[in-house]
Amino acid sequence: MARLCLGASSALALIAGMGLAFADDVREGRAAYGDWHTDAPGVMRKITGKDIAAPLETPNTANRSKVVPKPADAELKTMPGFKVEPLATGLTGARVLRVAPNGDIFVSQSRPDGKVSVIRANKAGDKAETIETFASGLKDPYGIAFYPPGANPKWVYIGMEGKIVRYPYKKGDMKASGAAETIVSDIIVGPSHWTRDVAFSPDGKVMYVAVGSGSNVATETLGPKPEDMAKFEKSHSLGSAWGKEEWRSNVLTYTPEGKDKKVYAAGIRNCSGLAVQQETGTVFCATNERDLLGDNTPPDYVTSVKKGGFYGWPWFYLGDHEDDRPEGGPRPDLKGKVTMPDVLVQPHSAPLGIAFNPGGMFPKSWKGNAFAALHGSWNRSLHTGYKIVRLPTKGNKLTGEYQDFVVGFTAGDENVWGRPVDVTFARDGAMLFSDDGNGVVYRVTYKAK
Amino acid sequence: MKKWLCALAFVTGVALPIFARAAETLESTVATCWSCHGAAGLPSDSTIPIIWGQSAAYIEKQLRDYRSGERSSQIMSSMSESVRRDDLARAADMIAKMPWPQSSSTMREAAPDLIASCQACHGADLMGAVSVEGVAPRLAGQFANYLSDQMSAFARNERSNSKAMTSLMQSLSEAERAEIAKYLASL
Repeated sequence: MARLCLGASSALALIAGMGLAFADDVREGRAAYGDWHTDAPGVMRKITGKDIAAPLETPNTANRSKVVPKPADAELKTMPGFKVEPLATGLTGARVLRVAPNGDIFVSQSRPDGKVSVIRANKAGDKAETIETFASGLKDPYGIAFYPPGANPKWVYIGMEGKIVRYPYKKGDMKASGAAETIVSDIIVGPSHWTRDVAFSPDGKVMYVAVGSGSNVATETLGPKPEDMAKFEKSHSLGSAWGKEEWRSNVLTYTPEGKDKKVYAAGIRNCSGLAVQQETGTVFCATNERDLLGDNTPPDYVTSVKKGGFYGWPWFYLGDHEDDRPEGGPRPDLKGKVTMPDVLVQPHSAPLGIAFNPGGMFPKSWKGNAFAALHGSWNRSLHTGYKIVRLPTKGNKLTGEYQDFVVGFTAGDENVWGRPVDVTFARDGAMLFSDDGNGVVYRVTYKAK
Repeated sequence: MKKWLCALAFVTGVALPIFARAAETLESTVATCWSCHGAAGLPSDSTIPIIWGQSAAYIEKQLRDYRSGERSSQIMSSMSESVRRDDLARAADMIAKMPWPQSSSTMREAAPDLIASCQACHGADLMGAVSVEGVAPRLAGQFANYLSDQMSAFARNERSNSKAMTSLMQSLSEAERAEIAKYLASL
């Protein structure tokens, strides 16, 4: 019966999708949910707090995708006027992408290689001309940030599982000219979430570091509560977790020299991708919510992050939806204090990276819009994610909707031939995104008809 | 009619009884393991271990270590939480009672001299044993890729839920570890 239902709902959504593709209509409520069968370029979705399915409406499942080489008949699909092509291949484990002021493309290759590479494209910008190793022998390098902000950065900061280091940098360097200097050394190593993204405020005064939780939902990682909770929350932030989760599920701030550690926001289970909106200085997170609650619970999210905000993990999700699993029981004192994220994304999609379109190539009305890479699901009966989505903005704020932009990495219900990780924009305004499944950096261009 | 009802539920957002909370039993929870560890006990990815027929005490310890963060893996951290604490031993026992899958290897590799250091804890037949250090898993017939990954993880302190393994693996070269893994997989 459940299977029948799944089929019927997928078919229905597919029909709706065909009708809506390239239109500005929005799939809302339950109709916004879906798996890869219902993806199509142009489909707009909006999920709100009242659309969240109850825990275990569908059973918990494990369904890891198998990454295969690109099948001969497989093609990525995008919206009319856009073209998506590989820019560089052979970049095993390609994760975070950042573009240097001179146009060089930095890419972290976290696992298994543990290095950061630099891609220099040809004049047309459509093919990699040179690929060099900037730094190697690193443990899980992930976030990359140039400092100070502006045209002449002097360092490249790299976030690793246990620390933040920086390498000296001058325009055009494709290999680090000197040794790494450790800037932050007190980031927790293991267990669970290991990515550490790094970003700077536009004025260069603040360094943001994202550290995900040490477990799915802190079933056994909290231990005894702090004796003086008021004091703990004053020294950390409202809703901060303790024990093995201390300084985790946070966005942290430091000075660019790695001093003055503070919790900027708490309860963000895994802010895998950090982005700072240049116009406003607002911090944004692409966040993976918790597992094991069924196919459609709870949504992942992309959001602006409020200083001192508490986003729920582990005791709540997406507002006052309580989770009874964390060690030590519930936190009724936090009810009503959970900040609702801006854009709720299909549960288990795994948004990893976000970037804002600076303009220059994509349609003018899309300037300032955010784009996110959805790495794809494992904790869901039918795969979802594995695509790039556009998140429209109005007056520098996310509207709550998102649109399928590049789809097509799934090859049947078991296999995928790409797993998008991060998004960025080249100097000419083309979008770049990474795929750590087959080690490719793709370029998306636009030509108005 | 059923299809129509389902479609209606989806369109209207009304939760019909078909969306009722699924009844999860320990059997169904344990069965979710097979999606990665193999429906017949043989994972399709050789970096994922064979767990059918593995020692129950070892499986239970790993589940506990994933839950408490002593052993790290994003997916396993979540999956280990899907079993209630009181059910961990029973879940491990259910997995241990499944038959170890038939080996696909046809030729036994020559035993490296260093294998004696494995046998000290894992047993002369490398089928797993209880030692002073705790519970040592069965290694015979395990995937070489998985074994190599784990030995390297111990050596690099990326896996640290056995002190004995950390010090032993740090004393071996990568080539020595690979040779051992290849031999163990051929058993």
